[in-house]
Amino acid sequence: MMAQARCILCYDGALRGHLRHEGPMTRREKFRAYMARVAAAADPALAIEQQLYVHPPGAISDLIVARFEIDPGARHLVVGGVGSGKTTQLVTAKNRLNALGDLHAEYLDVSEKQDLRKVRPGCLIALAGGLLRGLLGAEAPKGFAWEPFMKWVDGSWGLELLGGMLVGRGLGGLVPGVVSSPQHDWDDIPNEHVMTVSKAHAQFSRRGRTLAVLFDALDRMTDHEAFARVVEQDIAALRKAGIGVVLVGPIRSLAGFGRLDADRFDYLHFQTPIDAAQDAEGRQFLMEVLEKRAGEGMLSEDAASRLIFFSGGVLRDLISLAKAAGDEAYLRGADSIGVEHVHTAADAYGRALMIGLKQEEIATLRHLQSTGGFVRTSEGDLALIATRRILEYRGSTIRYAVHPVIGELLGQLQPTGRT
Amino acid sequence: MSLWLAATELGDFALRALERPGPNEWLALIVSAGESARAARKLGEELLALDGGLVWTESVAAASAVIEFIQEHREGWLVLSGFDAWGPEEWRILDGDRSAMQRRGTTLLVLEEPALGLMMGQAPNLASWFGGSAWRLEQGSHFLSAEERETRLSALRHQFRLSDAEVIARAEQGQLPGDPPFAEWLVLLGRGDLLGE
Repeated sequence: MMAQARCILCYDGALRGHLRHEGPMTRREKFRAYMARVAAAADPALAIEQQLYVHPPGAISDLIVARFEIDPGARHLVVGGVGSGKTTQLVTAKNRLNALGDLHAEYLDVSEKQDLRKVRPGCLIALAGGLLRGLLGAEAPKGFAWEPFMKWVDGSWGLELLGGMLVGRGLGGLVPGVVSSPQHDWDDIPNEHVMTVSKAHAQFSRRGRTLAVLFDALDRMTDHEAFARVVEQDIAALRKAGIGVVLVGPIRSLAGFGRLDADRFDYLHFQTPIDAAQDAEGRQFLMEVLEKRAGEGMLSEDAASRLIFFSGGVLRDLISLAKAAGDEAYLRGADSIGVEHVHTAADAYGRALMIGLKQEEIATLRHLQSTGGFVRTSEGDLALIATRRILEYRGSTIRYAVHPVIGELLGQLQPTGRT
Repeated sequence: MSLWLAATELGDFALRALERPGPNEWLALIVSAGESARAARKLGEELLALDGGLVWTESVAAASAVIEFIQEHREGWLVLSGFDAWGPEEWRILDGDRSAMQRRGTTLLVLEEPALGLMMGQAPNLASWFGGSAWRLEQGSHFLSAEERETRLSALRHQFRLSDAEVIARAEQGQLPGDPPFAEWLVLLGRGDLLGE
């Protein structure tokens, strides 16, 4: 049961006046405008709308669009760390695909439609079918009925027959014939519903457009087996329907047996942090991101360089650190953000990121920091990447590094105490 | 093994929150054991006094309660507590539902350090919204009354069978364990300068 909530309504407190007069309004306004532009947790679509987006070199949206131009039914898997800009790239790809004329792209945050703990085979084909139903409206082909499909999607009152459970009861078992017809890959999805979506897409395509669905948020699924089943069956069913797919999957899709998930796709895209230390073009991109967001005279070049270093090339971390540094500068009475404010912000970020680390994880981080050695073998190793304590860079080779905000603190940490 | 987060007083923390216009700002305030609900209530009062807008305080028993409450309160200040009783699964659920938690207003979580550790480890997507926006509430005269402070000190003396002078002496010699209760003890005695000795 929800605990009692309290709403305290408008009260003009005594301190309010002090706050309003604590400094020149122009300074406060300048900082508040800056803080709004570096809202790291804001919806990525909003940043694009506000023209704060900077196109990165080698953007995966470029690759996705180019592939769809020649293969509109292709299946793309996108993998990348938290805050690396995956959603931004999906939204950008959607906008560009829709401008091509012969593709209709839809962005879909699966977590907004489906409880990620209950994802099962059929979820993605059901969501795609729902999109087609809306797009076709009254245009469905003659003799075509959405009703059974929608009952399957939304559920209905009645008995659920589990495939094959009642077949042959009391009549003996089925003796297979010599010839076995080829089976499709979606054992747990009723074939009639895959055919419904397939027919609907064929009808939609008569307008000269192919549907492509960009499924976001499945990287947040923690049940890997459930993810593997969905990938195995829904991706095949969507292929059968001729619908193009872009799907954001968990990092572990690429590890161990998870590699099989990646094999179900035609193309694999990595959205990794930008290795600013070894990628001059990438570093320039990060600088442009800061210039676009910071505005005139807010950030010195030295401060921007330090922000890029401490971010480790993770876009959301870059913007979060820029915000925290702005916070420090404002509260300390400065007119612009200096290197000292960046260092304070990075120190705070590192301390927060280290909360909850176990001794063996600290040892792994120290080993990586001192030797550069890290072999991703266990769930614990993957967790260090998933939580951004370790960053994975993919250039001509794969390189791992301790997140720079942690790197600064590891040396200060005593085994039995705090710093 | 852990690190001290930067310390803040309640009023300073509220001011920091006020200077972040959003949208969808998330900040965390780390408090001592058993203090979450009270600190959340005081923080709500502080925000109200400073801003005068809509301020909601809520203790959340489960991830589903957070989602439900947020969906009904997209605007204004939201001060949430109750996370200290959560296990890893609740944080994982919240992480999966992060998209449903986009707000136009600012959300402040008041929780103990172990709960923040769980969030960092089990809910990396949500944690990335905070960035480094987590502070430790500096305990002392700004938050506890003299009577409350003495009650807490008495409990610590009884629990560890040490006097205040012995704790300070051990801290000065670098022999005081780094556990949170000892750190809190020093802060309550006004000897936060000995932390990390």
